[in-house]
Amino acid sequence: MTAISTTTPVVEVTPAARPATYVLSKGEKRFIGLQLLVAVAALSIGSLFGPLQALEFSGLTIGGRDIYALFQPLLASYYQGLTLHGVLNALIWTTFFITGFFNLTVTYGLRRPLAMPKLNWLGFIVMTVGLLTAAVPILLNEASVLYTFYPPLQASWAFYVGLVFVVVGSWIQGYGFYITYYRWRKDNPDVRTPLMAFGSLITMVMWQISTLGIAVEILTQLLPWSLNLLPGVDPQLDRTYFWFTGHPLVYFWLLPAYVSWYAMLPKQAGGKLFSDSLARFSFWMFLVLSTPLGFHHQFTDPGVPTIWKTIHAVLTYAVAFPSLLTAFTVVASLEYAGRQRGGKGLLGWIPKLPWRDVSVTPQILAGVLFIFGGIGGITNASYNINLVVHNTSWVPGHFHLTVASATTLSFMGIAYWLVPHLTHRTLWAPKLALAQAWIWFIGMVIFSNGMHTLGLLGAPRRTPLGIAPYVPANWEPRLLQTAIGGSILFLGAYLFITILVVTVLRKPAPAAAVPEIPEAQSIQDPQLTPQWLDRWAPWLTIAILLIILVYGPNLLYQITNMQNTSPGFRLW
Amino acid sequence: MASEQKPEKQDEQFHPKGTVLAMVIFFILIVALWGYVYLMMLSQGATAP
Repeated sequence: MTAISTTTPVVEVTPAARPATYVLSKGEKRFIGLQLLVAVAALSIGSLFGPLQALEFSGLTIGGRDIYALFQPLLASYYQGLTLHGVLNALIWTTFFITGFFNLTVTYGLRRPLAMPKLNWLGFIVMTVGLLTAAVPILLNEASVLYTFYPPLQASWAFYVGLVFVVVGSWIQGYGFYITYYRWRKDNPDVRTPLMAFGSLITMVMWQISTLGIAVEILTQLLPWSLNLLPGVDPQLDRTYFWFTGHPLVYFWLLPAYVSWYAMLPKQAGGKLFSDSLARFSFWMFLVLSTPLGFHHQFTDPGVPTIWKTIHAVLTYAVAFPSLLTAFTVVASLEYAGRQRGGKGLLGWIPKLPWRDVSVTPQILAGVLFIFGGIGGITNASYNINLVVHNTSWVPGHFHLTVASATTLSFMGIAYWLVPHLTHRTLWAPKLALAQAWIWFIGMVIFSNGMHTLGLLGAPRRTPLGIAPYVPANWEPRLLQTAIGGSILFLGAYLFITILVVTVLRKPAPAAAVPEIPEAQSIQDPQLTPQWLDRWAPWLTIAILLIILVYGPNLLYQITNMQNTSPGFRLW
Repeated sequence: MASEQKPEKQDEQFHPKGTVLAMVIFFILIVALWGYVYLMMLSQGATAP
């Protein structure tokens, strides 16, 4: 790995073909801010149910009844709360934050306004209508199907329509980005795509390919089924459709954080990006490898032959490679920053990083948590271990280290500069914001460790364990640990929301006090990055061919042998 | 399109040795935690018929 640094010609970067900066207009800031507003609103509601689930785990009862009894009839059951938590936090908070953030990274990265801003507005409106349409049945307990909405659990048709609108709206925003990029490319045929726009565009393309799975699932199965146009559905086929989307969804959450880690964080930390080429190669690898591996979520499904599961398992390990590349490149960029700040010795650069920076620290802590999320992911992707931990609390323990740590904690760090930038305010109580990041980190360490350990002990996921009659004594300390961790996370979430709300309500600040958009330079001029790392056709072709190759035969078999016989169930 | 400016000296001399060490620790952690889980599963009789 050292060869990368020693043999590469090093040239100081001056993005010669680009203006030095791009000032977002008021309208652009308002548009991005609105998307963040919806995202944070979703987080504020979705987070209410996290501690409820965690405290339920601890066996807390009120008058001998489960704590959910306190909230009836507003909240019918544990499963309605779990659905609200999953849909609002994992799907809505993330998607609206990402589309808002990408409006910034594409326009600022390309140094030009959106080519068709009305198209992006249309996308946002469609997303919002979808959110409201899906929210109504969830709140009425007509869609307590969790965020995976596996059939034969059946939701109201409005839930499915709402989800389709959210996804289609995000596609429309993506089209707005592509048109903007196309026009930029026509004007700049030989210039490397600026990295923050490059990563955002690849993420959007990956998302549009992968969400074809749930689009087909909902439009051909779940929606007509919920409208009584189909007598039943094929749950096996629908799980396959879902996981065509479900695993790349994880990368849709993660890659925007990577955009910040690669293209912004090095600058914020006082350094430069270690390798532009490695960064671009990682994003292409994610485009190629994110989708054709969904069967690793279906190791226990009887309808998928072992050979396909094995192929997808191998590809699952392959997608760990760009994550490792990312770990190396981002840490090397931080090391560069730490050494610029006076760090000496092998690890002496770490304490020299700007740990008091309210945007840097959350993103570094997110990366630290993601180390363990990655290790857990590699571990539970192994076939035999997965058979044991598959439906246990190990899995939510794992994905809280990805979506609720690498993604959410990074987004929190981004919001701490982005919201002041958009609103022309200074951040309220930056020391409290710094403490908030550490509170989230500590809460997540406690929570996820408890959930992983419970999973290894056999505790099932998606289960109100507080009222389960079969809980053995050795689960109880871990259930309590999970409850404590979840409560700390709740505190962290609401501190974050409070800080943002008070920030927005403050008086406008002088321009010099408002944070600028951080854009990291690369140690090596991006123009020296090989051209094949900035060409779409070969990578897109490989991605689509690989999907056809490893999904096509079995998917075709499942479709031609479809048995729409399963009736719908509403259990809670 | 590349700049004609000369590279900074510290850029030329930058070798991310600390990062390499961090990655080695990362790989050791992967093996240790993965192995721990595997052995724990075996000790609990997960492979017993």
